[in-house]
Amino acid sequence: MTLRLVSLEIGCFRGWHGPVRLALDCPITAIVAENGRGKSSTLNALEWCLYGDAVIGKGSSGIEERQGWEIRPRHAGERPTEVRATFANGDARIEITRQENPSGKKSERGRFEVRLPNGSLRQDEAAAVELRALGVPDWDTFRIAHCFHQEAARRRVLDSSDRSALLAAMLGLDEDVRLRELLDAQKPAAMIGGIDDLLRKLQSHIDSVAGRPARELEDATSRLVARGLTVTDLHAGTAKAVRVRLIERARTVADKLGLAVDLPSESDDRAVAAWAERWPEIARRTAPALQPLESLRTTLARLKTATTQADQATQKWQVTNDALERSVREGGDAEARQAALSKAGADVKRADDALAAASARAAALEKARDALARAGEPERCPVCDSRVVGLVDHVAAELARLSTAEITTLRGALAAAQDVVKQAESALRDLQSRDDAVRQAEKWRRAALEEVATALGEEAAGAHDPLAAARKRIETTSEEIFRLDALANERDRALAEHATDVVLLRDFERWMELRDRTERQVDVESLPAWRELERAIDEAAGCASDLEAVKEIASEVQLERSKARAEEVNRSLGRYFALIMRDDSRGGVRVESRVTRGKVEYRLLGDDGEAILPLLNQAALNALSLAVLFAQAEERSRNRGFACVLLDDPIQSLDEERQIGLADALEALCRTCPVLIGVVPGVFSERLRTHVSVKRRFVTLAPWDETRGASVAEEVVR
Amino acid sequence: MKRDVRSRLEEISRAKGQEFGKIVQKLLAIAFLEAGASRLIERSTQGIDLEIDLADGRRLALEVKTSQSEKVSFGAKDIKGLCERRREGRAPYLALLGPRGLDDWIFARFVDGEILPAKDYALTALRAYRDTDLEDSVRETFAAAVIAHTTAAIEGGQGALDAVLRKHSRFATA
Repeated sequence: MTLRLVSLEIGCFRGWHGPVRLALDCPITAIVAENGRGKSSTLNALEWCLYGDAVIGKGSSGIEERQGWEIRPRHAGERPTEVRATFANGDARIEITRQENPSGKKSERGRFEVRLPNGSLRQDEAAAVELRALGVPDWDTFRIAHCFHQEAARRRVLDSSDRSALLAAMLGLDEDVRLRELLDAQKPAAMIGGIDDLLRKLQSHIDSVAGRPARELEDATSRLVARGLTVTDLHAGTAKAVRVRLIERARTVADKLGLAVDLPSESDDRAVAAWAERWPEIARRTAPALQPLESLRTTLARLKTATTQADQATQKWQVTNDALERSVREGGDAEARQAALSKAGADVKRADDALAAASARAAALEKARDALARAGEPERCPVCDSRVVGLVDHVAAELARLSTAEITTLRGALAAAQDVVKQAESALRDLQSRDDAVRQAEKWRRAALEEVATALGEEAAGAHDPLAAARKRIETTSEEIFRLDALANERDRALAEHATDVVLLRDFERWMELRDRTERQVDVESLPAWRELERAIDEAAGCASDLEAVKEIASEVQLERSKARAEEVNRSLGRYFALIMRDDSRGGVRVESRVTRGKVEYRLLGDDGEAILPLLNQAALNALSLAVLFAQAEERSRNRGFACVLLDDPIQSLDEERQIGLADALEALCRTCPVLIGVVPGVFSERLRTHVSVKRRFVTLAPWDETRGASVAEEVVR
Repeated sequence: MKRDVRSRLEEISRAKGQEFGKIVQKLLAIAFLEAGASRLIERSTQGIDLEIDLADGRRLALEVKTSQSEKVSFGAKDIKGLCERRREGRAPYLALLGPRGLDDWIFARFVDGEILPAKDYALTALRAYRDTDLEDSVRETFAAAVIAHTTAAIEGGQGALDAVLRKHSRFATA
């Protein structure tokens, strides 16, 4: 099936204000007019009909000069813009209509429809799909493979991307190029890069989410390291080792203390933790081995006190006894002292009697004296009544002697005897008191020894020397207390180590909890969503890999097909170039394909195998651009079913000779592909009129009118 | 990969530098043995790194690579070795471990012609060839091997891990 353009109806489009119908059923249709009369508007109308907004504006159209393009004439008012292109496929007719209304909702202003030969209508997107199915190329392909725009005359050969696409189209490989572009558009490498970005962002998010728990974990780790652990020690095995140590230590202590305890299994974390809390109290409170300790201390204290007291009492007795013996040795025993006292008492009696006698004599003398003094006869003795010469004096003298010497002496003797009595009494008392002291000391000693015996208990019954036995007992008890104290200290040390290990274990378990929590928070592996994401990533990676593989295969296939097609296309290209240039020697231009960075690229080479573009002047570039266009249009019309070439003022930069050549080339082209061309009157248009033998239509446009716009002045078919 | 395992690998890498790749290879070998491989041969000089006979009868050839970036490349000898192992009836694999926290082992089936020598491949791209069942079979044992042997790896290097491997009756070197 080959679609050929047969008519174009234009209404209110750019230069065309009013409606016009142009028949385009000749191999060549030439719109002849001076500049500004509507030639380009006519060609543009067909483009707009087929492609709509794609042909407007610089970006969408790919034609720089269409920046700010307007399709509606300024004076169109409310009249809609409508262009209808009718294509023929044999006898069948396909009408393509595009309309734009100036008013109403923007979404409802446009209308695009394709009416098929069977009368069915396709609209909008469905219409566009239908056109592709019918073989009408898309705008980009149409622009470079079916059009020659004066604004972009040489671009198809100078712009590398346009050139490569055009040459590929010329070789009939535009679908390969499109496939390649489609594959490139999927950007498999970017897909992989996007996945890596996603994973980096996810990791960053995980790191931030894990931030606080990670800091707590770091703190917990630091605390454990400060206790002497290394980072490599931080695992469950170390915690278990601590539990084992706790239990083994407790077992050792329990054995030594005689405790029967149920120790937990080191693999039961909770049981170990609960037991570890209770263990110190159990170990301190109920140790049978240490139970005697207090009673031993009490016994020891009692024994010590008793033996000390006994020793003191014994010493006291010894001292007092020694003093008594010394006193006896020095002063005689009690009998001797009593005897001395008795003698002293007798001496006192004798002295006293003597004194009493002396005192009585003195008293008698005094009586005698008094009596003598009273008597008239002082010398007569009142007693014996004898006369004694000097009796008074003698009495006085005797009395004086008694008073002054004898009585005094007797008094002195009595005092001395009394002193002796006192001394004897004192000595006796002293002896008595010493004896009492000894007895008291003996009493104390007996009491102390009884206390010792009591403290000894049953052992005292068989002890000859309870005090010695007590001392020995003190020794053994002290040793036993020392041993038990050491055991208690060992227990206390073990409990201190136990407390340290309990804190360590608690910190370790806290560390593991934090680690597990951190792991859970960052352990995406355990999340079902992560497995889903991984599967999606794997599939995406597989897709990207497949795309890369398909790209490589597509490039290889394209290259092979390029090589297969090149010879035929190059003949066509060379022929057209030679025709336009009117120089057979210029027919050596050819297309060469090669793979560059995984893509198939096309170059234009001359006879010498070198790139030809740098050698060409403007005219030759135009000519080459046209030759490329004609070659691929010919190929497409043969193989793709769409036969149409639009040429808008193609004679730019072509001298008259080349214009003649162009006319010859068009004559050759139009036999396979109809041509719609806009030209100014001149050598070229005349050449078409006079020297081209195919059927051709010439539509001459009248001068452009401000109100009416473009119009047809004359239409001639030759 | 669990954070704890990843941080231990990072510690080993910091401590052992260039030796890290070989150490990881030996840890992987330990993991396969602990997972029940019936035979494992480690080639330390030339040829494919690990030849493994699994308990289910499958025979594998693994080329082990640890990457410090998101890309990895393979030498011509590696490619050739894998092709030879395939001819001998072993399923050839690329065992790949990347540096990122979310990276875990990728056991990529080697397909001749699709992996070219001296070309950089994104680790992510090679996920297209993953054998996730094989990866799952050693995930836990690899983590356990890293945790159990971190200290030995840091203090004793490859030699210490060789001593661990020699204790397995199903291990041999070539």
